[in-house]
Amino acid sequence: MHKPFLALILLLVPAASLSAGTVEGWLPTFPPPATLQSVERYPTGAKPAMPDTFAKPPVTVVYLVSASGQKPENLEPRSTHPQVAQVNRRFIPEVLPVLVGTTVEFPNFDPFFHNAFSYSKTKKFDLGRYPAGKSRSVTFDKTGPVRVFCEIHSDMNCVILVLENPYFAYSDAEGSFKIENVPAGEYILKVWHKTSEWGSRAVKISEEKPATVDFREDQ
Amino acid sequence: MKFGVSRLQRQLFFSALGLILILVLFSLFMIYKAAKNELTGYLREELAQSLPVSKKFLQQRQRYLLAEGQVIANDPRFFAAMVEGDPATAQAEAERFQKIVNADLLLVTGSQGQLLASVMEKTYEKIKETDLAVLQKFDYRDWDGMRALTQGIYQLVQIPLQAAGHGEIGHLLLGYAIDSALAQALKDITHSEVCFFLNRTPVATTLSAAAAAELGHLPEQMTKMEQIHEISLLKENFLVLRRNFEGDLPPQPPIWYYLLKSEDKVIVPLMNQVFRSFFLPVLIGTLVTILGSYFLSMKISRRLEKLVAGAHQISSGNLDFTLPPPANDEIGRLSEAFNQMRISLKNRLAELKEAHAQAMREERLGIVGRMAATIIHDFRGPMQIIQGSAELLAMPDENDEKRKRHSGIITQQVERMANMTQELLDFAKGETRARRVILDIEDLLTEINFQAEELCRNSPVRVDAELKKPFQLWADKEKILRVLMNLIRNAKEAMAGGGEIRVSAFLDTIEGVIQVSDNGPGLAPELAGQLFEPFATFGKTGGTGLGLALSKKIIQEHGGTIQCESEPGKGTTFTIRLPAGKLVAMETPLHSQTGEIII
Repeated sequence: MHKPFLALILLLVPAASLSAGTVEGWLPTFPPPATLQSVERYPTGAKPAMPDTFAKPPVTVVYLVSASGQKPENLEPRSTHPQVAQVNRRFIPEVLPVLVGTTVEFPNFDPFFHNAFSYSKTKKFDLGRYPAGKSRSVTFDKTGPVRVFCEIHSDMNCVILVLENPYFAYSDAEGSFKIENVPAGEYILKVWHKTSEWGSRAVKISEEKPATVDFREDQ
Repeated sequence: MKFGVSRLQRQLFFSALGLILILVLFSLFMIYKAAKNELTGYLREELAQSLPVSKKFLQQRQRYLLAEGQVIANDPRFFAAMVEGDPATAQAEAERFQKIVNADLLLVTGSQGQLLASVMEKTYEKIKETDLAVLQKFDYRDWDGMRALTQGIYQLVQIPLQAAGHGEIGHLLLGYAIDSALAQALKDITHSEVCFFLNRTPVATTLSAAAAAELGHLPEQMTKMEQIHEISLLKENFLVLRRNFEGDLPPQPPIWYYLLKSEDKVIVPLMNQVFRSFFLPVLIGTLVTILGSYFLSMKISRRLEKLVAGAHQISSGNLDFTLPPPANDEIGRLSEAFNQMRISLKNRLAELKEAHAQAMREERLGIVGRMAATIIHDFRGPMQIIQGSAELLAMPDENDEKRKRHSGIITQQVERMANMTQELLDFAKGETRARRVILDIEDLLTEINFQAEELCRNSPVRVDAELKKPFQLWADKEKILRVLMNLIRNAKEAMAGGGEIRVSAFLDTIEGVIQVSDNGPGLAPELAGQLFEPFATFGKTGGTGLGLALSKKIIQEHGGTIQCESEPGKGTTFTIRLPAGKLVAMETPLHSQTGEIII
């Protein structure tokens, strides 16, 4: 089900370095997101093509931040642009991790106008209002969370996590996650569930064996 | 005033007028008072109604504010700016929304109570720390959301700032300042003067500044909570109602809300209108009616007075008095009837006079007839005596002495007949003219004595005169003498066998009394009553029966009385009483003469 995203993430991950480790773990099961209600203002009207995968989007992101503050060098974002779709009056996904410098597209799959803007200190932008089938894009050149809203629909918001490295992943439906090809070192593992930070934990990654973090024990 | 109305009538009229006026004024006063009470009652009711009306208005305003606040809080840009934006963005967004909703206060606090953005429209100042503390304690469920800040009073709402996936990130406080525009709006819907006080300082009011200041200085007990009081501001009477917005928040300065209704502005013009449209016409109408009826009654009584004058004229005998031509109303008909009555009275009176004169003539003829019979009867005796004496005188054998005697008899009898004739003549004349003089009773008695002795010379009757107390009379000497001599002659004739006649006179206070008494056989009691009737001779020979009737007439002419007392076997006394004295004002009933003082 998560294949397109996983593939996307894999594309972003650079070639495995020599001293690469893995971190894997489990998150508690969050309550399932409310099933999407189809919004059809004009039922007979033409509907832009919408990928089926938006039906059950991932909602939890896990990523690593270097504890020493080191930044990986020569990391270039992929030319393919990740998308935050505007579907059924929702931003999907609600949380999107991207490497700094990445351009994100905001296609509108709804049969009415949408807008995307942000007042975040990380990135202020306003894409204006655009109709169904159209898309606008923003390039995020600073790290940090960027909260995105639609000025038309107050309930719509999402977070773009602009990260300094590509060591991030979505957890699957059962709550397990795995980040591979991480240079050994000390990190802080952070978890965002939907549009807010849910938790964090220090983790030490080595080449010998994968580090494990089990958030379920906290419960 | 020549209204022909009596003083009593006028007094009655004016006291009635005064009474009616007092009654009317009193009733008008009572109506005025009742109306004023009623109006004050209505005003009170209206004022009492003003409070819920203004409450509703403020609640509605709060709901409106709340709706605006919710729109702001739900606006993604506003939310985004507050949740993510830098202070400048947050402030800019707050100012933008403040302009859109035109609130006087817009304040955003974070979840920890920190200030995210604030706009104070009226003052353009930054919010003060103390005010922030007040606002942080603000509970949006407050009934009317009144809060006193440094800048004044605000009506506030509080809306949580939240969005899907973010939870509550803080609060939006939106407020309207309590200003004179609000006061005016409240006045427009409640029709009452409105005043908001912070402590004793007027904040917003529709009153003048001076009146508001005076209201602030009123003692507390004058304006108990939600009770209507009557107060006076700048000499204008107000009904006032007060409530407290923050009674349950003691550290806060109290916010007072006054509702006032000017009694003077409402009641006085209304009462003036009532006075102009009701009291004044009633008052004028009453006055006009009273005065109109007064002058009408004056007119009526003047006309009645003429009738009364006419009646007086008629009663005093003037039947030629003519009333003014009758008008066509009740009084006119009355005066017409009066005139008719007068005319018929005049005719009747003329008839009566005629009848009376006729009767008088007939009576006199009757008397003359009776007189003629008497004279014929009475004259037969003396004439037979004269005839006999004359025959005897003619005889040749009679000596001189006898002839002298016969001649004397004839003379005597002729004299007697002459007397009788005189009496008849006097009576027939019907009236005697008095030739009055001042008469000394002493002279009168002397004359009487002389004549009486002359009369009784050849008879066994003795005459005596006595003056007990002298006085003067205003009288006709001849007539009084005739009366007295008549009485003496009667007495002498009644006492053929001898006796004594006593004439005495004395003054009894203001009356001269002359008594003629005898000691003869007296009169029978049944005769005493008719003694003074004409032709009552009582079997006496040689009299006309007119002597006493004539005497009574003469005495009456002199304003006196004559009475007779008699006891059979003992004698008779005639008492004559005449006006007398040292000072006698002579006025007889028949002939009015000028009075004369007699000394």
